[in-house]
Amino acid sequence: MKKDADVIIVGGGMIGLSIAYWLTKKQKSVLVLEKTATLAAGSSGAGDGHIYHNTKMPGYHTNLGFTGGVMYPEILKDLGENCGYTEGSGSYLLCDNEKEYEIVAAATKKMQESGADIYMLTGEALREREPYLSKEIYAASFAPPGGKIDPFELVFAYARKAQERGATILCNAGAEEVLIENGTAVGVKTPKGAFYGDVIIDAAGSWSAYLGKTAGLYVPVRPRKGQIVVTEGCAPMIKGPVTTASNFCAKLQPELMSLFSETTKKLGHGAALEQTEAGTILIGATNEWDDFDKSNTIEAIEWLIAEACREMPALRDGHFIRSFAGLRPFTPDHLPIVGTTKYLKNYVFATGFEGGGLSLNPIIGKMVSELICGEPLSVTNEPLQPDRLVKPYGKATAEEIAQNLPKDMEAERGV
Amino acid sequence: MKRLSTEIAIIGAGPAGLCAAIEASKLGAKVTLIDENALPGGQLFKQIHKFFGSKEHLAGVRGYEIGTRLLEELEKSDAEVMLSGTAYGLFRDMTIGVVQKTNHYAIQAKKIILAAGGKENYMDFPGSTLPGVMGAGAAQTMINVNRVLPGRHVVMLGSGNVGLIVSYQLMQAGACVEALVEAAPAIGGYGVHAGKIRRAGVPILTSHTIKEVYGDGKVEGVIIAEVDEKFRVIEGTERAIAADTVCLAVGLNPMTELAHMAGCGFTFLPALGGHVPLHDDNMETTVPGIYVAGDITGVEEASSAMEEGKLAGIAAAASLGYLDQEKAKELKDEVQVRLSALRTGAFGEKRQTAKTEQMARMAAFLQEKGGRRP
Amino acid sequence: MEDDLRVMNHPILGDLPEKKMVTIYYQGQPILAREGEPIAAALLAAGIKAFRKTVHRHEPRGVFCAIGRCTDCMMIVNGKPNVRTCVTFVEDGMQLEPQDGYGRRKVDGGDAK
Repeated sequence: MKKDADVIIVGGGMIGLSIAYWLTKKQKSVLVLEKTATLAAGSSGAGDGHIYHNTKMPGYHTNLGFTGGVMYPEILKDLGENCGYTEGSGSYLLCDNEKEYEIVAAATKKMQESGADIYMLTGEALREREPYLSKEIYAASFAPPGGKIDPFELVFAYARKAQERGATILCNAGAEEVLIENGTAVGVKTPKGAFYGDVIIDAAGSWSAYLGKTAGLYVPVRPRKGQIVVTEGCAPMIKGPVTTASNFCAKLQPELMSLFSETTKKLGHGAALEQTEAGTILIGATNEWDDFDKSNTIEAIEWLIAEACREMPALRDGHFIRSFAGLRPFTPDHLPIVGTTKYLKNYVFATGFEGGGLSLNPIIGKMVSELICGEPLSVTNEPLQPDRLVKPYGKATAEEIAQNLPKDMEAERGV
Repeated sequence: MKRLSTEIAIIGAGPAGLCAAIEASKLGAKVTLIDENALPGGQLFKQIHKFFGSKEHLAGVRGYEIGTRLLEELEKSDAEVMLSGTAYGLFRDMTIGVVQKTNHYAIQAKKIILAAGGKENYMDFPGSTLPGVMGAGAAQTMINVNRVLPGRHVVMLGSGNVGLIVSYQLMQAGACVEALVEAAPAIGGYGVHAGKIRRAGVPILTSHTIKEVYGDGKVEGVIIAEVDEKFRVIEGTERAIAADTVCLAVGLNPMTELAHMAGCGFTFLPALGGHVPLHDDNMETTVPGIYVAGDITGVEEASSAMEEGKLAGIAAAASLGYLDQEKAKELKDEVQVRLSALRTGAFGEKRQTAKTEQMARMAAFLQEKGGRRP
Repeated sequence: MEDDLRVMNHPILGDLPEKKMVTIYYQGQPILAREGEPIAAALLAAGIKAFRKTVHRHEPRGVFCAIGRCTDCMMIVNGKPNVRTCVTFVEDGMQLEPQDGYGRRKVDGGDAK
């Protein structure tokens, strides 16, 4: 059988390219297949730039984010590019009231206990660091290693480096089918032809359920829509990425959801804020179920702006110039799906990162490269094992299929 | 956020939008006309020259007088007018997001007519960003609407009708046009306009370009030079002209953001100013219920914009059942005759060819989709 | 005033109609403006051409499009940055500052409504 590369990666986002970066570093030949005309066309190009550490589940997940986040300086040095990276601005989770404070402080304590560099700040201490934040904010958790990076630049920098080391990147080459022989994944069929490799990697993000289906697997990754509003360029107003705590608190204590307005329930948590290198402030994102729809809504734009102005009153006289939306690959237990599966040989998952791709991609790329090269893993992927969620497609219920595989024109043309 | 609903929402109250609103309202449709400016009329009120065409086109009437007449007609109509309202986006279910001062509206419409107009092109050369370099249309706004001279000594770049007309109007306002510079070997606009400014003593320098604009913090002078047939500067032909203002009359481009946001199909036609939305002879785009009129469909001039506005207004009202197809056809045919008349002659034909091509591409698009809009 | 650039008489539009005058302040200096005119027009009439400086190279910019599209004429108006002066009308007592880069906002949003 012909062989096009040692490893074929489906998906040209930050996860796929980070893996390509790490694998080519280890002299593996790599082929990246991207269904659209450009890289970073999915979630990677439609998010904010947070290297954010405050809202992952305490313990393994949080620590994985920290491990990934602190890898940037070395990776960027190797890439020879800065990608808008801001080191050490810290990341914040804002508590509006005492109730939220209690929940966040308890979670933060657990994070500390498992070794994470994160602690609580009083409202006053918060505003000493970030004076533009509202006086109404009661307290915040603060993770000093948090920061910001431009996801577009990062994806393209990874791509350039991987190409320099021999990787091939094919755009307009959506995966129509995972090719299987004798229970082993051997290749991928695309409009540009079939490609064969020793290992096939699913880095297809929100489209993983579709890719899995062609491999006979049920992969419960669902697109979660995030809308973002962008301000005009502003003089520096905020150093670190901030997010309000309501969503995180509701995740830990679901009964809190009853306190939220219908709009908040529908649109998700309070607005996160991040000022980019160019001075614009990204406000968002929402967390919505809307299948594969990527359009903005007036309701969400209004809500995001109101949330942003509440957090940062000086934005009230600002101009909001743009909005966009993207899909975050959501998994039922909020943990990514990374590793091999017993249902299909030579098939590796690296998907389901929801909004955590920027802090996680450095360590995930490294982890997957270690897995494929048969090296000991620097961090275990035990909690991320795919088979906790993945199963043969035939075993999935009609309800599960309807929820995770909504009819989608884009997916029909390949993943 | 306040939710409003209407039958036909029209974005842009320039010549195209005004005519669309007047026409659709006359036919009985409920119309909401939205414009981000405090006053309607678009660019009509800075046009103090007499319009061309025939009597039906109000030839011989000055632009601002046409504007006044349209506003009177609008006033008499039942159309609702929303001024100082920025339509910032088109969303699902034919809903327009509008910000009016501190109020926020979601306006749902059965039909939407986009008549956002065009904006002036910029041209890059050393010094092109110095204060004092501006669009010719901007200078025209300053002198004719705001009654302020942007400067006293002007160099105009571009000899199309805008360059010629604004040069003359700058002189009417009391400025001195030091030179009109044109890279092509021949004058671009009408001979009658060129004659007027030439008789006033303005040198029209064809096969010339601006090589550089210089000055300390603002325009102090212009270095012009001759160009060869490939528009390359001929070394040694440079000379300086003292000036405090440089006007660029180098074309316009359509303001198509909302059409893009609505998902309208586009095509590239340089003769119309670049990327323009596809539309049929009803002015309807590839998105059902979304119409376009005026410069957004391809840059022409105010008279064509008004006719296109009427066409869109009639078509949108007809699609809502306010007149039968036969009557609609009769009315649209009348407009088409006037529109064709405006697209004749040496300058009009180029636009006619491009518009024909635009509609042919629309037809091809529809054919590909099985004759229906997706 | 010698360098008053107002078009007082016009062969088509006639004499400049009388208008109530208001006072606006450019870097603290009073400038007389005609009620209802855009800020940019009042400044050009007073011979002021450079309205802002760019973010990175701090180069001067002035009016380019005069219809609110190009944002070259933005200034800090009453403490609020990024105001398009060609489509914002003068008000008596208005404070104008040329904007260097983005223009800094007050922490509490100043007197924003």
